[in-house]
Amino acid sequence: MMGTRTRTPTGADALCQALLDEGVDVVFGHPGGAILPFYDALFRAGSPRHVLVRHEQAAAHAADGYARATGRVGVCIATSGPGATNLVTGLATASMDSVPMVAITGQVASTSLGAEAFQETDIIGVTMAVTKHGFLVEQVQDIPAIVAEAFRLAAAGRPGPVLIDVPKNLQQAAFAGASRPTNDSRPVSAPGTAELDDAVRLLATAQRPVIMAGRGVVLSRTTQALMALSERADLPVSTTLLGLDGFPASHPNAIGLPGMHGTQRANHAIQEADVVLGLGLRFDDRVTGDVQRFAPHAVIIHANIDAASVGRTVRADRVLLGDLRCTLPALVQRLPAARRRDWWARLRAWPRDAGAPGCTCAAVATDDAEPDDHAGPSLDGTSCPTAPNPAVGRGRLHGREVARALARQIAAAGAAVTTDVGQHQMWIAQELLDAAPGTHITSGGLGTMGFALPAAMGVAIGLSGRSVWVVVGDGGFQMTLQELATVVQEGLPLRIAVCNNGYLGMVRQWQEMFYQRRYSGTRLTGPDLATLAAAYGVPSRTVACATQLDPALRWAEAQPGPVLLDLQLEPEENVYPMVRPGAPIDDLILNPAPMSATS
Amino acid sequence: VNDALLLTRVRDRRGALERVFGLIRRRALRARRVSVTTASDGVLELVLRVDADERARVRLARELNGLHDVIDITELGATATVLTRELALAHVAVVPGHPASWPVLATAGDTELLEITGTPEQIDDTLTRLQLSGVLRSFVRSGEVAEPYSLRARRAPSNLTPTTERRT
Repeated sequence: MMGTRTRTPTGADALCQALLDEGVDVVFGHPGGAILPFYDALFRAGSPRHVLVRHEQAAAHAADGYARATGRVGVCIATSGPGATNLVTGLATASMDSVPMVAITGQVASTSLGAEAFQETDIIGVTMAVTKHGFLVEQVQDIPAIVAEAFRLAAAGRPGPVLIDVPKNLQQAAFAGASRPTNDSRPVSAPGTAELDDAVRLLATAQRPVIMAGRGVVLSRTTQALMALSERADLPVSTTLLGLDGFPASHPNAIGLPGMHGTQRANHAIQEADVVLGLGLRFDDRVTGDVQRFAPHAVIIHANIDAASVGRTVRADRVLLGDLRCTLPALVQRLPAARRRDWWARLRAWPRDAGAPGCTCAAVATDDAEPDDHAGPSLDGTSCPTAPNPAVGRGRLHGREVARALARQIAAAGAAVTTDVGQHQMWIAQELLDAAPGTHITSGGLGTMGFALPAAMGVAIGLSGRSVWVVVGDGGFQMTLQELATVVQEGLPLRIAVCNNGYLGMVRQWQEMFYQRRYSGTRLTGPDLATLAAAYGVPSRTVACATQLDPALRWAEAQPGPVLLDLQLEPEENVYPMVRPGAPIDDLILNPAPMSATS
Repeated sequence: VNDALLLTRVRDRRGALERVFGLIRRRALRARRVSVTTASDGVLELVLRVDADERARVRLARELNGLHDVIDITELGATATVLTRELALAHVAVVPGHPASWPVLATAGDTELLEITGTPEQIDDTLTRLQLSGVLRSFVRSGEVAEPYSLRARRAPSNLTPTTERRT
């Protein structure tokens, strides 16, 4: 709808129409002076839907979550200057994790560029390192073509964020051009026949092969092909943090997470492998540990859509450059069926389960609380009545058990989950059960605290009708908790589980392990999350006792949402296994408590 | 540290060169010599000489190739014989009885401005000689332009060979 009556369309109208031409149904943003013409056009057009966030960083994360969940390009909007710079963390997050996004920023009038005008920032310059490209609109007639190119570029090859900076005077200028029809026919690249045959020969003759599957499997939605490949040649599959929803954790060939908090089975398998087939991952340092001692016996076959990602960290002995939608079926077709009993017998010697101590709630409950303990409030009386506040005392919920319970609940509900960054992120990653592609969403590359809640807003809108859980630490939650207002305003059915241990838990763990327990700057106090939730109009429960956990999760699932659970965790727990930074990945620090039964 | 010589064709758009150099900076590499010329309408040709070992060179070329404005990259010297040329303008003192061995573009008082061309190494040698003889006052260098020999031969046959210079 390009205006009514005889009103002349403007650049802002053209921008709005161009988004509709790309099939955009929702944008996440925050208005301001330099983007006002666009917001006016949006108001008049009535679509796409606009979600008003409380901080532009949340707009970027929400667009990111929407894109990861749906596989479509997410869109965020901000005004010039501080609005635009507030997007930067979100753009960097999306860039690291290959998320297709388009960010649209208002800019001061083109005649004022470089004049240090009010709210002027060179946002294209600022974001150059964290975007695939930045377009500055110089002619109003260029808007449709630029938008089309930005969307194509965001999704092509290795996806990533693209920024369009639109000076205000061009938003206001008369637009006499035509909208540009969408061209969504992106070429799909495939590796060469010789490279495929070589890879097949290596895999067919390997004695100890391992597949490492990353986000590329999720992006390309090739889970079925990966399962077919694994089953045909009896290949163990390790999934990275961003590939967890690319292969079912319950599959008999799944060997778990690799790397710093990887399973013993996955890490030892990689280190003993004679062939590693890396599918759609970039072998980042948290996965490889010491690069020089990574997979020392293996021929590494790296399949990736992005040439620049190949050989960046670990050597790539063979390269399959292309889209996994081509690569995986070609491998399945060529690879002979095989059984690898000896290799699996060896693999089963290493636990696949990260392991956890049993619940110690009853034992801990009798421990003395520290002097400044106070009972955590409970709006509905569901918290353990004798529980001290574990944020400062000894807690009753253990992180891994909470993660297991959450994983069970998430699987039972067929829910999607977003996690933040830190210990809870690793526990969930280790315990997550089968997740469909686009339903486990986390900031893997940049490790952005504050990501989970705003990203979940995008997930909830993108996967309308599906339950969405947000698992977040008390540190990360406080970075973007203002978005509770957005969640309530939009009526988003989020189940927010705050793993509240009163610390920046992962940093504290490193301080415990590598800095002789000097807990510098990691202790957190407050706020009272139940009161906070009530202030935003979000029903909540406080859970400080293991026996209350499952009922609370069921309660949360039964609510229309949003709801919040304040899960008061044992303050000083560690994530195991752990690889010391710089060590090879089979040099694991294991849980000093007895391991639970393994698969 | 090795030398990488990259011929990069870039669309002549706002910010295109900045993106190329931003990438070099972000990869903690250093461009030692750069020249930018107009290759054709709307296309710039950059010759970049970058301190980079083999691994960094391959990575840089791949990542440059991923930039939206970059049309293509040719790794000069890796697979082809390369012709490189550079221009220097040198202010030198006039030495009576010793005519300059390079074209004189201008004279001013007791100095003259020489046009010196050749390979970068030849320019180095010439400037060093002028400096050692005490006549060099100042100079400016263009940075090198380069092209694979096979391309040059195919495009425009000439009497030049990779080892034959017009002037020395």
